Amino acid sequence: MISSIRLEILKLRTTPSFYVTVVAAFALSLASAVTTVLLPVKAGDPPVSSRANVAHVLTQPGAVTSVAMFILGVLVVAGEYRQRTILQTFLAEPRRGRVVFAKLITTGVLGALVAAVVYTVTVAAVVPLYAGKGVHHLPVNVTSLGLGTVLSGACYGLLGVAIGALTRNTVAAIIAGLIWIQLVEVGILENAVPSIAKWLPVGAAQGLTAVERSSHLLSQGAAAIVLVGWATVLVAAATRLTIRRELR
Amino acid sequence: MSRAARMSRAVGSQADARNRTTSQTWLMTTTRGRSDAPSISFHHVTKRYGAVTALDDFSADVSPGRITAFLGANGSGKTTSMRVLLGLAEPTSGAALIGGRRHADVQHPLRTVGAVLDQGFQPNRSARNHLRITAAQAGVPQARVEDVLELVGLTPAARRRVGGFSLGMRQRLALASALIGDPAILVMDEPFNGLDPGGISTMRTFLRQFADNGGTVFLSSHLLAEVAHSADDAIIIDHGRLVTAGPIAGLLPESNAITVTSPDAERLAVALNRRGAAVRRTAADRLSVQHLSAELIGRTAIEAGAVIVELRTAGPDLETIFESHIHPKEHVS
Repeated sequence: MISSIRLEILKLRTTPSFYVTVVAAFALSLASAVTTVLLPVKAGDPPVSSRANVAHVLTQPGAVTSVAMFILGVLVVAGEYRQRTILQTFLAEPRRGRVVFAKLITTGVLGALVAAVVYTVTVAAVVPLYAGKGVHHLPVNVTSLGLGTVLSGACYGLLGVAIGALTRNTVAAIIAGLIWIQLVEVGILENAVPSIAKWLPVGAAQGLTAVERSSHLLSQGAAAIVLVGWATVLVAAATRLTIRRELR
Repeated sequence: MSRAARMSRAVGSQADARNRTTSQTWLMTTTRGRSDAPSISFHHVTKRYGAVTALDDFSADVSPGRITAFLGANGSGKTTSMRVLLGLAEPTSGAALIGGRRHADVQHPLRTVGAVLDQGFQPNRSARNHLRITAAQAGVPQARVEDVLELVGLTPAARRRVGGFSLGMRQRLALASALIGDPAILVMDEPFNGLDPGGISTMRTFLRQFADNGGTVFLSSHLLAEVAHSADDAIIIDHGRLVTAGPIAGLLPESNAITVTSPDAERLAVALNRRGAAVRRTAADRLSVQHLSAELIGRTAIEAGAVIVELRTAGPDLETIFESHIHPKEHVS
């Protein structure tokens, strides 16, 4: 299994999309956080020193990294189907379950690592900026937020692998994933039925990285269990389908 | 001889070969014993996709030390057979075995069987990086990458993106991938596609040497003339069923056939039949005639009022064999 994971890492290292995705996660997260701190606060928005402002800034790495890791997870699997390199992969390792497992471990660990680094760099970047605005102590639990960010990055990497394996189509998987996240969950369900939305993948991720608790959000522990549960169910379905489905 | 020793010897011979490599001979074979090479067996393989039967109780064997051509029309079941053999499709019943084992049970698949199918490439990856991954998949040293790059003549293009490769270069890269594990069996789907005449000739030489060294070559191709030059045995499949199999020499049924081209082929065939000839129509205007001399064929044509455009005595080729087995209904006699 170690060799299979090393192989997946080698594949990622020799693929431009890996670097593009990770750099994009870094750039977007940092840009979002820095501009939120530096730009003048609009009328009606919470002041820079408020708990809500800091929470908004420090939840950006989790949101951005989760989407980036979802896309990377999709590319890791569906990209192989699109380019038909999956044939060589399965010729080399007929036990397809091991292939899927190696991809899951690699993407999950990578998601956690990227999320941890992006979060740490973002915190390191905004702390002096906040200090320059007179905020010397961040009014949120930075460690707890960081753990939620890391778990969310890992789980969304797994979800990406699962959706990529289920659809085997890069474009369809990414578009469907983004529509689900932005339109279905955030745009519709969170407003229409928040009591249900909090149990869904995006709702659970928000519960993981939320600063303010409300009845519309799960506790961090419950959110972690729900998100891991979603990842497990989809991964199990994807693995089963990958083993049973024939390549044409 | 141990695998490591064989590989060491192979690398050594490739190093020698590097000095001899020219643009026309990009493939150099390695010399090694292959007495333990496994063979390929299809045992009553049936494969159904819903109502469609792609393979119907198909049985055949492929021997080591031989080049076996797998022939059939489009949709006859060749690719399905290869996919079942390589574990990419599950047979409905029966089994396809490599050295007596299913592909899924082979311990080191890429070191046992090298396949050239329609595998794709990550277009942004360099040829060298593609082979580094394949070497890792096969569990062989990374040094082997440079060996196979040299072997297929792609060393100068090793750093180039595969997306910019020509069809022939991709074919060579696919062959390098198949060879990286130093397998004793090669399974190749249309290996001559995309190769220029020099490449085809070199590939033919390589496959011959690979088989002569004890390797098993199982290849499908629609270029029958190329296969005829290369293959020792042929397996002919049609509508998923085995039609015939064996050494090509043994499949030649008409060693004294005369090919007659005539716009009045139908009338001429009837007249020749009356003369006691065995006549087979190989095309709308072409007949293959046995048991009658060229002179008598000519006289018969005059009597029947049939125009003869060409009268040729030729040894039957693979195309003739293929046609005679796939379209036996066109046999007049």
